[in-house]
Amino acid sequence: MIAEETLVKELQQKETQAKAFEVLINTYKERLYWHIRRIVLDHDDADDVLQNTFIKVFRNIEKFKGDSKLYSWLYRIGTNEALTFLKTKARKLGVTNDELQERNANNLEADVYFDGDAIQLKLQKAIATLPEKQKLVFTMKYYKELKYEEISEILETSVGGLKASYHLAVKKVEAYLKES
Amino acid sequence: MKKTPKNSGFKTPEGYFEGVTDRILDRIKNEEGAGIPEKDGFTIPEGYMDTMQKEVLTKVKASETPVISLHPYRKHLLVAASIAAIFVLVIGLQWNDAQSITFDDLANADIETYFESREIGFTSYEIAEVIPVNTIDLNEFMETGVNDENIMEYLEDSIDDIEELNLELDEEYQ
Repeated sequence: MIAEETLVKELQQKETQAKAFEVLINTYKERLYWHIRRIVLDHDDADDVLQNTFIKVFRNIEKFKGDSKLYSWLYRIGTNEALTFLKTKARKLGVTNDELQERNANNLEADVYFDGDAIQLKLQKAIATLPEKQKLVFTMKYYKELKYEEISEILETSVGGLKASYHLAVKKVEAYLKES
Repeated sequence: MKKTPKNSGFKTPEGYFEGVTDRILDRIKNEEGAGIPEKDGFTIPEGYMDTMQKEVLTKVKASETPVISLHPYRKHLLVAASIAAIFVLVIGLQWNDAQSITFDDLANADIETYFESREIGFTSYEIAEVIPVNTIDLNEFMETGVNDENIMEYLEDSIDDIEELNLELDEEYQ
């Protein structure tokens, strides 16, 4: 795999940019897709957000100074794009953000790209009830997507705070799943 | 580390150390998140990742292609129109005795409508940065009064994470 520093340099130079951008998409598309999908739930929405994320990355790559790692910058853009997408969608539908997330989780039953069983469906409904930050930490940590240190860099929050949020989220999800 | 004496008499079941790591990790996992499914059940259309990559690259290339103007003289027309517009504006202002519109003339309702109809997307932190919270009282912009007791009750019921309060360290311990 190409070193991150080399990839950034190639992305910032006009002559090598196109090829490097392909490498960037290839390297991160699956990880970013699943990260975004777990926030927006619907495949078509995830596709929109993922494409916007990569296009935004391409247009802003010159502003990337290397203060953080490339993957955390990508995840940060992806997370912001996904959250903004949900807020805009909620506003357009005239519902609150929480109502939209509940609606999205309920729609999974009819989603052709969701083949989860009853407990997996209930898990999504449980996640939909969490506050935004707990939801993010839970989805980023539970599926072993990222380590606390990496999440800390992406969400710009202390590791201690993240551990507390994750612990609370797990307890709430467990309690929801045990209900009824 | 000191090695276990060869003839200590203790023995372990065969293959014990090969499986111990998995058993410990499983136990930790079972203690935190018991009953939560490991997989989430989401799927994607076949071949999606490849088509997505092609779509993004096409969009990026399209946005990079320079747009050639079909009417190059339009630029000159635009300049001429701008100059004419400035003349009209200056003359109009001199002839018009009415006062010019200021920010104060905007109805509050118009300002509210503007903010509601556009995706301004200010976060609460951004708003907090511009509102001088140290010099104004909460009750100045709230229709119903709020006392300290209500605030404490609200915080106890709804704040799960102390970091959400965005407290400065020294404030936190005062």
